[in-house]
Order: sequence, then structure tokens, then C-alpha cells
Amino acid sequence: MDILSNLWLGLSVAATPLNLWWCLVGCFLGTAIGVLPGLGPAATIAMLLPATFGLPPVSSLIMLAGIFYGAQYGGSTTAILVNLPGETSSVVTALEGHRMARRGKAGRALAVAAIASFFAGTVCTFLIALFAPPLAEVAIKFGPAEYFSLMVLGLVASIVLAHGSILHAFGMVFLGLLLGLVGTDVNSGTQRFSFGISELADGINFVIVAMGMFGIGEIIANLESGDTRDVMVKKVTGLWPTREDFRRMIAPTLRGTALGSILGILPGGGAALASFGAYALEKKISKYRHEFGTGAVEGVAAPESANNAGAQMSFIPMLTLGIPANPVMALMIGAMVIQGIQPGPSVLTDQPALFWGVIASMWIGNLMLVVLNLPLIGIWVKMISVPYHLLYPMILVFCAIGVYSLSNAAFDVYLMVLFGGLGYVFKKLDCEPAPMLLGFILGPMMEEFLRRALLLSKGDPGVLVTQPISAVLLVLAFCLLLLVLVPSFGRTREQAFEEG
Amino acid sequence: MKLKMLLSTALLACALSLAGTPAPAQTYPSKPIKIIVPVTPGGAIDIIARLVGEKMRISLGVPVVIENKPGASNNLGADIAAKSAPDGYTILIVASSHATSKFVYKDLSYDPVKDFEPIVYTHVVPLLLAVNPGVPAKTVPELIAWIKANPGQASYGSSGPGGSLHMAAELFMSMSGTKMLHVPYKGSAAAHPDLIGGRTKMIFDTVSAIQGHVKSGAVRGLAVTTLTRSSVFPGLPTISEAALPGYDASTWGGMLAPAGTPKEIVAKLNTVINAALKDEDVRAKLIASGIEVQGGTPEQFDSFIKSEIEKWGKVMKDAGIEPE
Repeated sequence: MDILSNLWLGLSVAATPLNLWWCLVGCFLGTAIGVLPGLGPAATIAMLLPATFGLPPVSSLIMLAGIFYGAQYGGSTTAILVNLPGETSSVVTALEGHRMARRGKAGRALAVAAIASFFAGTVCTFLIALFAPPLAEVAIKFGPAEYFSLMVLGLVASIVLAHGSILHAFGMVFLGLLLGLVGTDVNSGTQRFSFGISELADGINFVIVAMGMFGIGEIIANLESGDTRDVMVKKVTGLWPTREDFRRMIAPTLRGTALGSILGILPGGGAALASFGAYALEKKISKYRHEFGTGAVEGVAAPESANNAGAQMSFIPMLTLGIPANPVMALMIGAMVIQGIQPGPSVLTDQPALFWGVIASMWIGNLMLVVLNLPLIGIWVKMISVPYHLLYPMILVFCAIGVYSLSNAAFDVYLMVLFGGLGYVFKKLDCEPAPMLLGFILGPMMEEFLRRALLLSKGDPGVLVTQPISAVLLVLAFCLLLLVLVPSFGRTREQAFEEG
Repeated sequence: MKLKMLLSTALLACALSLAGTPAPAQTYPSKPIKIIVPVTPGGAIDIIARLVGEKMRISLGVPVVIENKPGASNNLGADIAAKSAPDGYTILIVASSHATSKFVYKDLSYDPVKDFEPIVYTHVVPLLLAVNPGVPAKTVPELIAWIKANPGQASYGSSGPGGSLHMAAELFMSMSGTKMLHVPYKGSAAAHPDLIGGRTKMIFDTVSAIQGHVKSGAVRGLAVTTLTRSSVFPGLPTISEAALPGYDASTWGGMLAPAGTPKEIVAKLNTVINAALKDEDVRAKLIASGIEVQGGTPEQFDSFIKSEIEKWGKVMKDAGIEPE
């Protein structure tokens, strides 16, 4: 059969000792750097890109892919252990994962994250091999109207997802939208809210906001109560998930994988949307939803499988269309161009060995990650028993290095400190930063897509409901909003959070 | 590894700031040279800076550090370079936006001509006029006729207002007497799905970015925008020969030093970079990605920049684009 012979071709390329070696190096370097708070996949790949120039094209792409998975997994590790998500998609992992860690279940949370990611990675490797060529067509069907409606749905979901008061959640979403508007307007090139500061001309980088709000804010809040350390080093009960954990993670992993696979194909924030979505879904339908907010296994397994599935599927538009779904894929395209490969549909037909080799290496890379990380979990867990007076300065230094490396600008570090202060204030006010971050990411994209849809339809807003995909997405968003606003539902929602 | 790189960059920055007086030209270079790249890693000028930087390291015998300073449509990096010490240890690679930025941004913090010494014109990337296959036109004259017959339908994507893709389309419209809807995106790769899906009808995009879609048949290439044909698509005519004599647009790039850099140092850099651009390995890598290598003297680059500023200033004025 075609797919088998294709995968075989891929394996014969990816499993040569040389390529296996580079895959291992990539996974190791990626994890080692990704585990440092704040250094997400994009920063890691950008830094290590020059190291791959001397390799043959297939090996360099395999190594870069390894760095990507490694950094992604490393990012989840810091999210769980020290509540410092280095990228959008691990924000959600931090919600339940860090609470598990605080209750002494850090090892179990890490293992669940690794296994859920590996499962999603395996499924997606086969999905990509099966569907890559036809799936690429789906991305083409998504025009600006469809994207806009998808983002509306994502934003409404973020309000459902928020803890506590709906009013706070709305407020935070809108604050996020406003912050997202800083920068250059796509349509006219006009500067907005940049106050003549040229560092603000391209807007505020997500990593700065996330690291400030989650990382620095968290550290300031912890300084307030001197004895929080006891909570953190509470006895670690078992590094390995229990049979019960395994049983409970099966369904969420399957659902997360499915959601991530679908959303990951779409260019623009697919993986992030997938992990937010998977978390929200589990919170609605899981048998253990009452445990959400206290460290539920489902709340780690679902977003982790979803974001890994999403990350992997984002290779589809990159490899088949040459369209980057996220900054990491844009870097991969740059790496391909340097190697003399033109990303796009021609890769599949002109260089089948490269195409299938990279796909086969995805699975090998995921396997290596599990093999590499499960024995190391003990070491990562020890990281949180390091005294705060040592750990915090270290985290701050790495945060500063990570943010500085985004665009080699000291201004970004100051900005992170500012958001750190804000994060602390919001913590005091009981305002969740997660909805703000989603508003921050989705806001500017929504605006861009809405204005483009209107530009193309000559100002007719009807296009949003006459396009079938867009109409369905909007109806879903409306139903979700109704659910939140109906008083009886609002009460159960609050109860759920109180229990949690 | 990353930490080590950062540390060495930090040490380097200290070393650079401590060295106050310009080094004499005879001993140049005696310490690492920094190339400021005003975009994120991966774009055309980043690739060239890295390839050329590697050859410079070998021929000059000092480390060459590539420093990405992205932001504000390349203006952030250019501003940093303009304010650096004119000692030949900080140079800048610019793209064609260098010639248009002062017409797009009212409060530009540097002067594209007065604040720099041109070193060398490194490359040009021809643009390719590509249409969605649903557009019936097979040649440029047919396309112009189609636009005139379907004024409501004709639209083109671009990498953003004021960019070279937008400018090429403005020049096309003013020379052919047509009007089209401009649909800007954040970078040209983001414009491709709507073009392939038929939601926009055409694009003027770099040969490197669009060639995959042209070869696969997802879009139809009609012509290239430079005066000479592209080595990637020798079968495609130029717009100038097909319909609009004299039509010439492209995205190009070159290296600049801060104003006041000694002439001897500029000359030395010019020689070394010209040699790097003639290197077979560098040429092969650049040509494969649709980049045509240039080269030449600092004076040639200087007059080229000035003519580009004049030309696009007029196109922008005719199109009614005001600095914001």
C-alpha cells in the first residue's frame, strides 16, 4: 500500500545512525533549554539554527524537529513544576499540572504529560502520513471570515474556562484585546498605542506578557508569604502514575488528540487554541470535573495531548503548502531555504525521501523524548525542592535571558518586569491571567481577519453568515455564550469552581 | 550552549563599547565584526548576512557576529546601526524598504542617506506576477484587459502597506492605468492561502517565496518584475518586455556602514564582500532560493539607493500614500 511504502521510505531515511544521532541531539538540547523557564521552542530553535547549517538537509530538519519537540516538552515541565509556561500552549498545562505539583504529585504530572504527548505524537505521525496531501486542502478552504468566526469561538470558550467571576473574566479578555492592539495596523501601517517608542512598533511579544504575568507575578506573590515553600516541597508521593491515573487519562488523551489534530492543521495559533479547547472540554464533560482546580490528571493529559497533536499537525501546512502555522514553522521554512529546499507542494513530489524522512523522525523523536525524560523526571522534580532564595534568582535570570533573546532588546526585559508587577496586582484582585492572554493573542488576529473579510466582501458583513463554515462556528460561539449567561448555569459553574 | 553564546555576545558588546576611538585602517580588523540584521532569522537578508558573514570570517580572520535586531519594519535595527561607532566593526544589511521607509514613517529617527556609508549592493530578488488559475488571463496584456473589464473583482495581496510587494503593484497600476483592491497581510506567506483559494486574484511576490506554488500549478506565473528574466523561470517574460516598457520593481539588499566610517575600511569591506558574493558555494545557495547576486563599488550602490528613493517617492506620492 502507498502509505506503508511511504512510511517505510521515511523510516529508512530517519533510522540511519547519523539521523538517529541528530534526532537525539535535537531532543536533548531542546529539552535542556526548553526546561529553563521562559525559553520556548521558537527562542530555542532560533538560537540553535546556525548549528544545523553544516548538516545535510534531512539531518538538519530532523534535528530542528527534535529541538522543537524537546523544547515543547521542556516547556510543559517548567509549567508544571514552577508555573512558568514558556509558550501559549503550556499555559493550560500549568493550570492543573502545577496544582498537582503543589500537592506532591509533580512526578505523576510530568509522566502523564510525557505519555499523553507521546500517544498524541504517535497518532499524528500516522494521520500526517495518511492525510497530509488531502488535508492541505482544508487549510485553503479557511478564508478570513472562517478564521474570524473560529477566533470568536475561542474567545467565548476562554470566558467559560476562567475561574471565578464572569465579570473579571470579561474584563481580563478585554484588557488582553487592548494590549493586543499595540503595534502597527496591518491595513494602513499606522502605529497604534506605541507612543513613539519604536520597540513597541511591532506590538508586544506574547512571551513577555506570559512570563511577566505568570512567572514574575507568581514569584512576587510567593515572596509575600514566607512559608509557601513548605507547600512546594510537600512529600512527593510516587514518581510514576498510578493505575488509577492511567485509567483516568485514557479518554481525555483521546479527546485531546482528536481536538489537537483538527485545530493544528489551521495556520495561526492552532496548538494554543487546541490546548485551551481541550481543557475547557474536559472541564465540561469529565467525570472528575469537580477535581479541576485542585490538580486533576485529566487537566494535564487533555491539553498536553492536544498541544502535541496540534504542534505536530502544524507541520502539514508547512511541508505541503509552505505556509507557516506559527513562528516555529516560519523558522523551519527559513532553515529549509538555507538548505536550498523550497518549502511548498513541490517538496512532497520532488523530495519524497526528505518529506517522509522528516515525518518518520517525528515518531522517533517522540519516542526518544519519553525514553529521555521518564528517567530524568526525578531530577526535574528535585528542582522544586531547591530553596527559594536560590531558585528564584535563577528563574529571574533565565527569564531575563529568554526575553532578551527574543529580539536582543533590553526594552523587552523592562516590559516583562512591568507585566510582572501587573501580574501580582491581578493575583491580589483575583483576576485570572489566562483569559487575558487569550484575548491578547486572538484579538489582533480577529481584527486582522475581520477587516480582511470585510475588505474582500466590499464592506458586506453578511459574508460571516453566508459562508457555511463560518456560520456554524458563530452559532457554536453564540450557544456557548448563552450557556454562560443563563443564571442557573452560572450558578453551577461557580459551584464547580468553589468545589475545585 | 545558548548561555555560552549569550555570554560571548554580552562580552563582545562590552568590548565594543569600551573601544572608543576608531581603529586605524591598517590594522583593521583586529576584533570581531558585527552585522546587524534588522529582521528575524530566516528571511532573505538574514540568509545573505550569514552566508557572507561566514566567508568574511575566513578571509578577514576575525569572528563575524550576526545580530538580529528586528522591529518597526526594519527601522529599529537601522537606527541602532546609524548610531553605532563608525569604525567598521558594526555594519548593517538593509532591504529595499530602506529606500521607502521615509515615505511611510513620518518620524524616522535616522536619515537613510546621510547617516550611512554604502558598502556594497549585495543582491536583488525579482518579483513574480502570479495570478489565481481562475483568472482567465495567460499573458500580461490579457491581464490588464481583464482588470479593466472586471474592476470590481480585481484584488491583490501584499506583505503589508509600503512594502516592495505593494509598491510593485502600485507601479503596475499607475503604468497600466488600472485600479485594484489592495489586501495587505503580515508577510507574503500569509497572503498565499487566500490567493490559492481564489479569494484574492493576484500577487507580486518574490520568486523565492512563490516559486513552489508556481511550479505546483497552485498559481499561474505571468511575468517577472525586473528588467532581466529570472534564472529560476527563464521561460517567463519580464513585465517590461510583455506590456509596460521600462517597468522595473524588485526587492533588493545591500550592506551599509555608519556615516563617517573611514573610506579605506569601507573599501576593504567592499573587496571582501564582493569576493564572498563571487564564491561558487554562496552563489549556488542564493540562486537556488531565487536570489540574484549583485556586487559592485560603494559609489554604484550609493547612486542606486538615491535613484530608488527618488523613484519610489514619486510612485508613493502618485498613489496618495502619506507618511504616518
